[in-house]
Amino acid sequence: MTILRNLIKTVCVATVLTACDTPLPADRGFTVATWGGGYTDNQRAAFFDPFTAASGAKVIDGVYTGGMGELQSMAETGNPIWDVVDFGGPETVAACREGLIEPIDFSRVENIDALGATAEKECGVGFVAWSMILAYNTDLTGDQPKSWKDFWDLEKYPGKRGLRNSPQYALEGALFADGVSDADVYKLLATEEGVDRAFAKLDEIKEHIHWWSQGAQPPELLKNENIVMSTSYVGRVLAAAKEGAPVALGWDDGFHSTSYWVIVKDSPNQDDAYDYINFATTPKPLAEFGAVQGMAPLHKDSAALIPVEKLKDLPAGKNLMHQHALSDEFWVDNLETLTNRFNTWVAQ
Amino acid sequence: MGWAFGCGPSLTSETHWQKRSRMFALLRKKSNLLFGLGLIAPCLIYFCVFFVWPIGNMLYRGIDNPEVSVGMPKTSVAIASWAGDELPSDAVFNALGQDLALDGREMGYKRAAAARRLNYEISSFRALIMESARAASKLDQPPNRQKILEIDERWGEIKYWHAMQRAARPITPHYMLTAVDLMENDDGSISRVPENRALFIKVLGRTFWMSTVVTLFCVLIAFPVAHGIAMASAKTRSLLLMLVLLPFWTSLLVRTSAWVILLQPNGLINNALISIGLIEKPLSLIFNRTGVYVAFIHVMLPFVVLPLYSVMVGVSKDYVRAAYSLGASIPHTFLKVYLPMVWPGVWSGGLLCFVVCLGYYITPLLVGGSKDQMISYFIAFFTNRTINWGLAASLAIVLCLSVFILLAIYGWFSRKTLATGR
Amino acid sequence: MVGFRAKLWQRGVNAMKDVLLYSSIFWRRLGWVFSILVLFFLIAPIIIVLPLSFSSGSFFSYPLPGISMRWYSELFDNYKWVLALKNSMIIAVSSAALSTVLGISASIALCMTDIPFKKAIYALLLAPLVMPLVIVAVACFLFYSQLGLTGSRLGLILAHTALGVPYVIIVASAALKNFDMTLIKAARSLGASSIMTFKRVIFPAIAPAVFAGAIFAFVSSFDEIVITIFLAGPEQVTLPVRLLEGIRDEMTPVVVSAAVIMIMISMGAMLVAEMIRRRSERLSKTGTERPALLAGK
Repeated sequence: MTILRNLIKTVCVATVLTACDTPLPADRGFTVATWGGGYTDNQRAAFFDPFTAASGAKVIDGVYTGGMGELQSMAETGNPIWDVVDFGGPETVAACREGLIEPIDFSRVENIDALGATAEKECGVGFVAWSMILAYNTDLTGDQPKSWKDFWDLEKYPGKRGLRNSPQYALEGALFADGVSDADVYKLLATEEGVDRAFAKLDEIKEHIHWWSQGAQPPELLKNENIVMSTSYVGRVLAAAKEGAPVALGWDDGFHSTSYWVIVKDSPNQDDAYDYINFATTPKPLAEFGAVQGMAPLHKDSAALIPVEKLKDLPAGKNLMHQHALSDEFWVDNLETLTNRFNTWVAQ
Repeated sequence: MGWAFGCGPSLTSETHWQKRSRMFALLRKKSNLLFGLGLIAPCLIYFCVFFVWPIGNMLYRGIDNPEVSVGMPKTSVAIASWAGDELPSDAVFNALGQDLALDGREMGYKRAAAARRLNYEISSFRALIMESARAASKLDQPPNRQKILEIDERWGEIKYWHAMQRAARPITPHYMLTAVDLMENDDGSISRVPENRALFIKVLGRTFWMSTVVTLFCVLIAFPVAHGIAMASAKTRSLLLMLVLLPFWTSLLVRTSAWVILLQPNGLINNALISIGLIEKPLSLIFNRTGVYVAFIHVMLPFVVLPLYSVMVGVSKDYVRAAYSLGASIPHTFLKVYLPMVWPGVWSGGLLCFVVCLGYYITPLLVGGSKDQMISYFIAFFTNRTINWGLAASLAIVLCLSVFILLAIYGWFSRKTLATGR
Repeated sequence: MVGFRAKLWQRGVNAMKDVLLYSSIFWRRLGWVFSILVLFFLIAPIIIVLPLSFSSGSFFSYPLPGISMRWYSELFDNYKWVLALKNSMIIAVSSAALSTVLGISASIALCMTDIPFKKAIYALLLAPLVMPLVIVAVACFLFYSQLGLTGSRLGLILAHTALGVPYVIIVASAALKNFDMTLIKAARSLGASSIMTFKRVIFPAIAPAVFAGAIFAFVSSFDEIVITIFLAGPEQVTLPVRLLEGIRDEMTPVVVSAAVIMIMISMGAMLVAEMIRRRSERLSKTGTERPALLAGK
């Protein structure tokens, strides 16, 4: 009994002491927040581990699932637990306006000229272009669904559809299916009538929509014969198709946008952050990551490093010819209000 | 305490012994009290600092309204006394101009927060503030009324000023109203939000409805099981209890994940049914209300079985036997003899199940679809995804109130039962 | 003939009525069948899904293509899972220790002293059991980040302690209620100081209960997910959070093997608690405890 008690006492004291090795914010390791799962694994292989090998700084990865809530709390309390985040276009502009991320000192970014015009945002450094395309189950669909009108065509393609759990892409898609042209879609969505029209169109297929939230879900949903077609990211569909799943994608009528590296406000590791961003915007790591994830590197020398068969699968060049560019400006101003309305509509 | 109290000065009316024992008792009581307070202090202080205060702080955000008074300080002060029937005076416009022209990163950050808060009142307000601030920063001096109206003519619309006045108050009913689908109009009256924005009453109703359904099913299912365990012999009883407790000891997440694996379209249940040939295409068992109910009932059953069992074990079999021997039928015995005796157990088990169900987050998140999410999902959503902690807090207030009211009702009921014995 | 059939029908109906209304054996048997089914329903999902962790294939289907431990080796090779396990254990043990210390002193104060407002304090200390976890999680998140405690193990330990204290208090209070106060008086009359009384008389008597309560606190912290989601940074991810990420990202049987590890640990702990409870019950029944206590063991 006494031995047991002493044992317990020592165990407790030991663990409490170990537990108290709380790293102070300044001692926290350099952390990059990215989308999790296979995406993080690919970034680790292409960016984090080579960066650690080259510079010696360890990279810890955090999971970022969209939105700006975590950044807001980090900014408000001055306690950032991330340093660099992999952000989408509208979020980069919005977070910059809110003061949640640091303005980029472009004199410290070495490759900025080679990255192109889209890469330079006030608070972000672009590194890859990605595309949201229409993927479909090859077994269940006779012809390939080629457009948003096909997405809405319940007679020709009966079955469930997958859409991302967000007003982005869904509202534009609804208006495209309703016959609105590329040039007018965002002008229309800026008006109350346009938004009403988009939601009315979505009501037509609401019962048949399966909402997904993580990038890994659409190929799984398509594979399990649960849904017939879905919006999805390029790389995921290609990876699933390579493993033999009956999925394929069509480039037309999809959307493309850019991903940015941003630095969290008051990050204590800003030097590491710039080193990392410089590393992660050099041709070779970009080429490696882009090839395996299905994203197009923005560095103009990266294309030469990617094998030709892979090049044709990337969101670049003629693949983007019939695509729509996601409008950062529109979504910066309207993401929150439209997300609220969208959530209400979905939950009703 | 093993102290020996020294003899005091000579006594008057009491005997020496009586006074000594009285002093003993007093001191013992006092030292007992101090001792007790000393023992409970660490725990209480800990709870107050790390549990009560954070929750109180968070709930206060449901009515706290600091953003505009911090981000547009002079305007907030100036507009507080505005009457509201026509456009504000020049002084207010000047204050606005000064606030817009304020420079610096910190100020910009605070102004952005104020702009976001104002956006909750009117949908384009944020863009208005940000653009006006950008235009004002390009000028040499803070803009006056005329300049502001030049920058953007919307500043001449009175609804923006009404919104500004509402949002500049230190305490606001805005979040609480939104949490029940109401809004405040320019003239101060309260009305229901437009239908395409009305969400939370529906979610609250859904939360209560789902909890009720789950509780009902759990009670109905748990009753025979608890009765069976209570009636069993001692040995079987401990085995059966173990079978009930086993899933209880398994982590909630593990149990819910097991259901995800079972119910998926290519999960075990569908695969089994397809291979037998009962169905051709997989059944839709997950990401809908069915999946949520199944997983919920599975998770909550032990919560109900255990209180029911503990009450049933205390009920002597003699009552029921006596009823039978007097010729009562089974339904009659059950309704008139047995059920009233175990009713407190039904109540406590059912209420516990209901209250826990109200606050559940993980299970609906993993197995439910978009139409099955309960209030806790939205509390987490408004904390993590959008930066609307006020709304998250007001939803939390609604949830807390529901829980407390239910517990109070339970407390009142059980006291009543104890008092009347029925 | 018609009358005969009618009489037969009437006899049948009466027989059924008799069985339904008066045959308690019938209902008892029915109840047993139903209970067995329900118990099966309770256990089955776990028992059916767990063997998948031994599958050599990467799909969730029976029959298993083969038996292998590849998923377990993948689990222990992956630094993320190992870190999660390590975090879970450290945080659970530390918060259980802290909960136990706070809980014991609180229950002694509640059961054996005369402090005021006992009922209110009791309700307050048991509040974490009924408070919706999301609210506690968000509240802790908002408050701790101001203290710089988010993204740190200490913060998680502090938050989990509040969840563990109710368990310790419930169990310790139950044990203290059954405690015989005359033992204290006896000890005092033999000259023991209050500390010695506590060490030699009170603590050994309630030790099994306290240990059980500590184990409950351990398990509650080990399985805790909602608060951890909000408070943990990338390096403090615990096993349940990692499991959740695994489910939402890409489901392979690695997730199931992690679930098996979790079950083994929490169930192992609960079994230990149950054994202790049984042992103390046995001892108090046979009354061999008191001589041992007074002998100073």
